Amino acid sequence: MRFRRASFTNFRLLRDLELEFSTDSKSPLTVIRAENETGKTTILNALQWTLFGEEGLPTRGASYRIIPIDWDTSASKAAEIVGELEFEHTFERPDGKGGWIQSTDEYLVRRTATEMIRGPSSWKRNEDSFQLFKKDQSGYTPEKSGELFVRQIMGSNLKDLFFTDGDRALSFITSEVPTGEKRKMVRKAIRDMLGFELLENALSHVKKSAVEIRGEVKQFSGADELNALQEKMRRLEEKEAENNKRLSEIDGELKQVNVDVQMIEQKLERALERGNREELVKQKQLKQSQLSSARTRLEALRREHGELFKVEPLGQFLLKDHIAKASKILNDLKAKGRIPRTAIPVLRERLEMRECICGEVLEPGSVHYQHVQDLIVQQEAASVVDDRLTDLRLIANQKLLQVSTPSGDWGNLANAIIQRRNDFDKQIADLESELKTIESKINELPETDIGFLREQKRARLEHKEELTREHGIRLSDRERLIREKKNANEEWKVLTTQQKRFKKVACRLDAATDIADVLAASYKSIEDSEVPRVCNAMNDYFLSMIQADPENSIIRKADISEAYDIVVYGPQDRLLDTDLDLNGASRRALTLAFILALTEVSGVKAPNIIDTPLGMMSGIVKQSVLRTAVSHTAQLILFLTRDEISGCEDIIDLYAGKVFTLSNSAHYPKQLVNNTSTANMQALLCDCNHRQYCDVCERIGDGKNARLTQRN
Amino acid sequence: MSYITNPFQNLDLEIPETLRPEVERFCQTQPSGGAKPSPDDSPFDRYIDIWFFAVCVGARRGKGPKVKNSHRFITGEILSRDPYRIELLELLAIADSTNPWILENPAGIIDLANNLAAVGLPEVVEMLNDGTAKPIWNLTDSIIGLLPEPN
Repeated sequence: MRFRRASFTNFRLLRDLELEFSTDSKSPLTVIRAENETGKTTILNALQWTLFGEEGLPTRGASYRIIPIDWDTSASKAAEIVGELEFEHTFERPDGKGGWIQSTDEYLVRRTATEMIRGPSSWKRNEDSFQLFKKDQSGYTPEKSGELFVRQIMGSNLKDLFFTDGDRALSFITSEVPTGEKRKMVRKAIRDMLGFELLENALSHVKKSAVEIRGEVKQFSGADELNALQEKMRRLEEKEAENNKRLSEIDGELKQVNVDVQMIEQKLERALERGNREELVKQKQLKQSQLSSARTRLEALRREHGELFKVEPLGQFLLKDHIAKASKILNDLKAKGRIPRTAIPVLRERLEMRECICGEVLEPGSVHYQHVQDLIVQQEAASVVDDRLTDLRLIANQKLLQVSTPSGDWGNLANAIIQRRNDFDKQIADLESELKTIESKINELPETDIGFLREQKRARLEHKEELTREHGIRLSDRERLIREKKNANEEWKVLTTQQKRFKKVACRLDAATDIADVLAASYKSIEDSEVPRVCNAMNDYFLSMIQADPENSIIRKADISEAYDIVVYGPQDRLLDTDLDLNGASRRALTLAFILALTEVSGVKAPNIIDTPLGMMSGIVKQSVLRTAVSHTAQLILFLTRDEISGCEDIIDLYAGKVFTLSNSAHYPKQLVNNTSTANMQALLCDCNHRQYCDVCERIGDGKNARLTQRN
Repeated sequence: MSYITNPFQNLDLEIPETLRPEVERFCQTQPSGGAKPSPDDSPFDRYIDIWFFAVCVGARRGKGPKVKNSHRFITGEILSRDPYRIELLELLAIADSTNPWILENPAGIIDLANNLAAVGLPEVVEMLNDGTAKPIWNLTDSIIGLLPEPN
């Protein structure tokens, strides 16, 4: 990037100013000779505002008034501010042969804004307007995203390095700035120039993107799901195959069972025609039971039969004659009054009556009374046997009667038992006969067992029922499995789609990771290689600027520490205090060397615009600084005072493609010789070079300055 | 003083020793042990049953000689279980002795019974064995044969 031309309208002192810069690579220096308060810093700010807008202004434009301080509000309270900058930019692209093909385009930047005076110390600036035009054969063509383009070729963060002044550059090393702040500034300058921030931003962006991509990957978590789903689908396939196989088996088994049942039924039908073994067995069991019961009862009847030989009627029958004879004897006794003996009650009655049957009075204690009592005792003793005989007589008579009755007739009892036994015998015989018949039938039955067949049939039907039930369940399972497979396939489609997306995402993640690695490597490479280059270049420039002898001078080496301190070493690598051990010229040289080294190593080709870089310098150092600066910049624009120029004229003659002189109309008459007749304070530019003066720029004393000549 | 319900309770009832195996054979009671035989084979429940039946059968024959070797199988106490037997034994003794007061001599009555039993038992055994049927039927038929012809 090289500045070609700049013009400013109503930018503070720069009411209407146009500058041209040298773009000649052999004469890259543009010198604007300007004394204090002539607008040097204003031009710096105006250039930065034109390029970067409010951001390019001090305090980012917050309290920076642009409208000229002596703006005549009677005519208009608002001023239109315009900044224009024409520049050229060289693009490079690889030629495929290890070289570069360069092409240079010309651009015009135009920024405008309106600022209104509101009061003595109040103003308001409207939002500015930025335009970028590309110059081609047909003229100026507006470019889209102009500000972005400008920032790409010269970032606003670099403006402090490219647009600086000698005093401000000292802040890199001066003790007036806290060490931390200095380090920060140096570090920032290095980082900005070498693209650290860009790399860091890029790295941060890439890492952030990687994190976001990882989030997408994490959200997917697809591999496990796919594997699980694949396993699930495999299991479903297996289950379905197993289910279908089983269904087929069941179909076969059902057919077989139906055939079996049919065959069993046919066998049963045939067997039933011949007889039912089961029924016969039941009948047999019934007969056996009846027989057993009859035999039990027969046993009881046998005992009852046995009882027949000890029953009373048998004895009565067998002893019938004896009973009759005894009965006659006893009846005779009865007839003779031997039994029963009845005297005792009579005697007792007489004792109670006190009168004997003979009429005698029976007085207790009398002989007669005692006699009767003795008779009673005698009678009672004999009556035990008599009573028994009496009883026996009745018993005998009764037995004789019983013998003649049916219930007392043993023959009847015996016949009854005989009849019952005969009946039982017949019953048992019948039962045994029936049992034999049944057993015979059973034996005659073929081997076919109806019960067994029925059991077989029942078992087969049960099996059929089980098979039918299982068949139903498996049919349901089949439908379920089909549904599950369908769902799984749907899920599979979704997941595979996600996986495809995931793969893309994964590629993006890989790319992001790779890019991050590349960026990190680049960062490290730059840090490892470029910073030392800056250090070396700075050291070279600095030593060259101050004409130091590395072996004999006090100042032997300049370096940038790991803590980003710009340090200077003396003999035996002793660290020098940049404030105390370096003079003002060396300190300015050091900072300029740092800036130029940074600019060169960074490869950013942009103009260095430096205000009063040679202050506090003199002699050979000043010349060396100027020469070194010119030699190591693509375009150098210096605002130099007459004092700074003094002694460097030859160098300026040699390197300056453009030299102008800037004056402030307000300096008349104190500093300027001539009245410029301008109504307002403004910067005035004239074409006087570093060896000339004119009516516009002639300052008091210029006429007597042998180095200057008047320009017509 | 009252008449003793069983005047024979302390008196021994006897069978001839020679018929003891027969008696055992036709009684349910098995002194030598073993399973109870069927009533058809051994119609009498106990010794007392065959003894009393033999007394009745023997009574129809009349007394016999005194048995030299007898087996006392039980006392007369068992007669208390069937009081009619006491009554019949007393009536039998009265008829046999034509003396009502024989009742005052229970031992004499039992002696008479044991004697008649010894007389009757062989016939009883014969009745049991007489026939092709089981003893119970043989016996039944024999007894029925004794019954008068129905009118």
